[in-house]
Amino acid sequence: MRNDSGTRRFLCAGGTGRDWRGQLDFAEASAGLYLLLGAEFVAAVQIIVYGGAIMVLFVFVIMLLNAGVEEHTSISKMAGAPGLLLVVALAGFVAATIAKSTESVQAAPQTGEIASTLGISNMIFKDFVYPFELTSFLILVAVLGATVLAQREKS
Amino acid sequence: MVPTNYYVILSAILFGLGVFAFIFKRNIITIFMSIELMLNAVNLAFVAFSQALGKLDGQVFVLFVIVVAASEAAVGLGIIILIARNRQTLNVERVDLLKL
Repeated sequence: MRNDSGTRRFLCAGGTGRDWRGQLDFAEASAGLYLLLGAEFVAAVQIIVYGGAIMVLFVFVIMLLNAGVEEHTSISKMAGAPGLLLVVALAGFVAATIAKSTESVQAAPQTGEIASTLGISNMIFKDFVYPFELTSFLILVAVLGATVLAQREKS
Repeated sequence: MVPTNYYVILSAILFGLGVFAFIFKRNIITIFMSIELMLNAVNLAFVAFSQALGKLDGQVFVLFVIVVAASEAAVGLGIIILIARNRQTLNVERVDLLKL
């Protein structure tokens, strides 16, 4: 229910330019779905990172920039038809792929309880330790880049 | 127990909505949000398959995707603020410095 309303509001967001809360709703709702799937750690990370960091950034930027109703030119209306065609083609491709692989997905055995968080920590710090370290470098680069972009130009 | 199919279908629908908004919207913040929506859809598919196959690789990958999404949001919103400051608009069609 909550997820549904979040998605709907996300779709409406661009139209009215007033209701931007949809995506925050969606972030929380997908955390609920992760809980339902037994991925507690990912759900917690989703709430902390999306609800706590990314959406606050978005809300701040929207507050600063005073986003209004978006305007359409004749070219952007013309681009609607090929865009719709592209979206329909993508949806058809995804639907065909799902329909083809339905049985193998459903037939997967349900392997009881797996210690989710313990297993994730084992994988991150043993199997994926180099990607994990590279991730910290990526965050460093992002922080530096955001700082450089946001600072006032000297004139 | 919800079947994995439903999660995958929901993920496909969300990804389609993200592509739809990405193509149709002209507001740069909405476009950015639709990118985040697509990343979320892929995350949902990852976790669903991770649970269906009984392996944790998908969940670990989701963590990496979230990290990339967070750093992307930080840099991207900085760029958006810069564009709005220099051009006084959020419409992507007005940002045509590289067009001939």
